[in-house]
Amino acid sequence: MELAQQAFARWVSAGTRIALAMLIAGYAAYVTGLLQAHLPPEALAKLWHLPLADYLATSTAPTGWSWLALAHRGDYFNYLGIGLLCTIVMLAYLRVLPQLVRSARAHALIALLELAVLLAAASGLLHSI
Amino acid sequence: MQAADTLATTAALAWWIWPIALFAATFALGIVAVLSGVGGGVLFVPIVGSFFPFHLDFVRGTGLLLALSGALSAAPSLLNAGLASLRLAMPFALLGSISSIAGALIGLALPAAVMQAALGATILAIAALMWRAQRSEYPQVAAPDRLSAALGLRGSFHDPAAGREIAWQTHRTPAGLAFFAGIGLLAGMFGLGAGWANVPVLNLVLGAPLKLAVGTSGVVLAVIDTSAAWVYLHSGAVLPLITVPSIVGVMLGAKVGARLLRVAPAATVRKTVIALLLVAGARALLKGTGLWN
Repeated sequence: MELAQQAFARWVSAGTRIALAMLIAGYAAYVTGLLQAHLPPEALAKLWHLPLADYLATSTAPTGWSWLALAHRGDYFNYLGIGLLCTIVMLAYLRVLPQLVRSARAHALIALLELAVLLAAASGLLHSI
Repeated sequence: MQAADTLATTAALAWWIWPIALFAATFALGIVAVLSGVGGGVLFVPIVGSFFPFHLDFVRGTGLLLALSGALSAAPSLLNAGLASLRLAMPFALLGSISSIAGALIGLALPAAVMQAALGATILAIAALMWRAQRSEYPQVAAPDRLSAALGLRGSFHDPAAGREIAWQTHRTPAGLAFFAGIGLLAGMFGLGAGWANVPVLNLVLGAPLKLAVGTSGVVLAVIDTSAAWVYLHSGAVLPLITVPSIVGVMLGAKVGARLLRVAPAATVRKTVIALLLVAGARALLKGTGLWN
């Protein structure tokens, strides 16, 4: 279990560094206009006080995984870094799963269940319930 | 009329003022969060939700990502030092992550005024909890319960302050699981992170030593917030213009806070945070009930 804990820590550390670098670079490209935005900041500022449903109706912002089609746009390019941030725990669990199977069976089962929960959340199916 | 005037005033300001103001505010929150020992999310959501022009739906989405990035940044060093336990975190994180998805879905479905009022009431309760909170450095656990024994929730770590190896084991696992289901629900619903509740449950209910409880809380929080963050992300409630400066501001502030930790008067900072939570909680409650827009 101790080896699994160290491997988990290494993957979380590496993933977080990469995600933060992507966030900072993406944000710079977005606000400087280097990457054209789907919804420019000045237009967004007129909508950010609205409830989510009204904002979505007015801005035609994507939901679910539809943002991937807009990942070349400045605002949604940032979603790559945010998406990675939300994937790090899953990757770390996947990394340690074989070690847990060998050394801590109960925790291996917990890791499998956790991966199922996180995959369900990441699938984008739940937000439309 | 007052709300319309406020909106007109904020809309008239240049858009870039708000990300800069947000960066400055979250930088300060990052310092205070480290010095007071609370997570950034619990301060961010009520303060930014009450005093910035962004809708609470977007503030909650950012609050979760803010708490997530902070937890992910801190977790590796704590895990490597043995001051956090993956073995202890995993069972409770599983329950918390399931309920945090439910919390996020409920939070996004409820009307804004209800959410604002419920957030205000929750923040005031957290302030009261912080005021009265007791902690136990090394709780006595006579014997583990059956589930704890089956999961092997025990271990040891080196405490540099005590200069010795500390052996630990936990008890009351079913009660702990129930608490973490509730914590996950609140974390997903309000985007608060969950450090304020994780530590007391790990320490006082399960009997983990305080340092291990603080470290493990971050690992649990990372898992809980990940599942809820996906719900907010897919719902469109994450605006990078707000989220990125908040994450960077809090993380830089936390680094400065860590340096100030040795010289800052911890008790005074903690009282200041409780006062901040009382003001922000009252503001959210009054905003939600329509008494102060």
